[in-house]
Amino acid sequence: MTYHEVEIGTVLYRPDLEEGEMMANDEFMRFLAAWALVHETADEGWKAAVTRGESQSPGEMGEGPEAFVDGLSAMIAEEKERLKVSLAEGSLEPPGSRADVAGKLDDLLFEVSELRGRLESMQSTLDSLLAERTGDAGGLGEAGD
Amino acid sequence: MSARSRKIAVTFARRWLAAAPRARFGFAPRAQRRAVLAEATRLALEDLGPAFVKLGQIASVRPDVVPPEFLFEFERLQERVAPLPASEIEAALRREFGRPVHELFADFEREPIAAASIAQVHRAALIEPARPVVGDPLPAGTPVAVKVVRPGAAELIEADLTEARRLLGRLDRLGLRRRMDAPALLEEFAESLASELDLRNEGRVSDRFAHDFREDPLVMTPRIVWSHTSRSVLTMEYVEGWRLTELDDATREGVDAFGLALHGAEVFMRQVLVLGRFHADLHPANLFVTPDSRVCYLDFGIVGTTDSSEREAIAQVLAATVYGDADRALKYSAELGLVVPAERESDVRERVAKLMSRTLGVPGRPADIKGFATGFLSIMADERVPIPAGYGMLVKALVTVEGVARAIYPEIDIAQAGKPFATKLIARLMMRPDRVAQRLPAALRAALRELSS
Repeated sequence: MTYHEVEIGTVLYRPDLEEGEMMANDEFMRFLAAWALVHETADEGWKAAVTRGESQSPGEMGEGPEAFVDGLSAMIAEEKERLKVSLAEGSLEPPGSRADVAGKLDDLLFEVSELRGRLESMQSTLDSLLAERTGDAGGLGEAGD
Repeated sequence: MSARSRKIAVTFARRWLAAAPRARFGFAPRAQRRAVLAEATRLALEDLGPAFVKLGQIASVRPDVVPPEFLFEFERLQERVAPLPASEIEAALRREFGRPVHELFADFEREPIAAASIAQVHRAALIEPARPVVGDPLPAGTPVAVKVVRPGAAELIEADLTEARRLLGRLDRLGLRRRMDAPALLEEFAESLASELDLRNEGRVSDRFAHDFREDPLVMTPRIVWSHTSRSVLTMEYVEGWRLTELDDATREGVDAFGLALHGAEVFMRQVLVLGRFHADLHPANLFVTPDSRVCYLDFGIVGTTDSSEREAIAQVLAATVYGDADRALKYSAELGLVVPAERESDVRERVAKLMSRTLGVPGRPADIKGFATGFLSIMADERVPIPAGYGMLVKALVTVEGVARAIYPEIDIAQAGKPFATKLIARLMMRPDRVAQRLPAALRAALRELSS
């Protein structure tokens, strides 16, 4: 692999580099500069898309790929603001947190309640069968008396 | 041939013959012919009673086996049954629970509030408190609806199914069977019918739905009283409100009709795309709007399910449909088993794109999902593309959601209203870490190439 084809994940530190190979480092710096430029351009593009998306009227989002991306950007920006508020309030909890456990408990509680419901229904059917049997036995008993 | 078999054959023949002049003895345009035949078949099913009405209702959610004209005609199937005398229902309750009605309920109204071929419903009040699976306990005296399977209904249906099997066997021997495997289909329908006859299934699905939507303040289902529920009896909380079929303008003004209609569509998408199980038999008579502006879901007889890979493809198809992208809709439909042969692909794509612009993309007019679905199913039928059962059920359910939303708020454009939800779904799919990791290097290389040029 040459440094012209450098990719994310390539080993970056090479202590065995000769002076003549310093060009490679320059190119690496150029890569990072390009990366920063991509980021900066994308950021400007992103802000412009959000502004355009926010000024869209209802239904305008379906008018083509550009309008779709603008609308989507505005929706993401809106969600980002909500996320910022949640983070500031400390209301976001990681997996395994209290809210997560509460959700699992809720599911478990439902399954236990569901089983209880089934048992109640089976108990009613059983009661009815027992009542029927007792009635039959009672009838026989009376006849025997 | 038994008397009942003869009656079945004669009933169909009579209704079809009576319809023949309206179909110009087969010379009318195909759509008209099919519509006339569909109506005649619906009337024959109604004449033949509960088993056939039920089979028609089950078929009405299966576009994979029933042509679109029949599908929407079968939705209109009416059950012409007189209610059973209360004494027979009371006797059935005594058989089920081993106790007389006055020991089971504090109050039992002898006049039914609904009567159908399989079951009838009476209003009553709880004699003792009950603890439902989901939600707060129900105190003694709470009004309840008691749904009781009509005595003898199961036997009657089984006898009719036996006759239908025999008739299909004869058609088979005469070589009159069409390309679909009718006996297998009948068995499938019979299984579905058997499941509907066991009311505990409906109670369980209702509980699951209540649990799934427990945090949604706009959705409710009646709480089930399991101590008074068995295979043939389902006791549930009585809900006051208006069936969607009874909603008038005055009522709509008293509730947030637009909000409820929109929310109804989102609830459906959440069932299909997030939870993986959906109410496949929604129709305006199965839904109530309560005075406190909530939607109450009833009658969970037919339920569809989706797995996670199907959910992704469905999200893409739905989004492609609301954005009018035929190419994408067909690409992801193939992942759901709707495979168009390669040599027909460009024709089909063109027809679907035209249909989309005719039904979903007319400026100034709300999208017509039902029109699109009917046209889409007809294109597939013309092109002899088999429709997978789950896909068909979903298409039908989507049409129903549009019908339900319009029953609440007639002016709603469901495709337009569903766009934000569909967009968020696609965004969530696109931003999945594995997808981002897979595409990031290529995206970076493309960006660098762009900048260096």
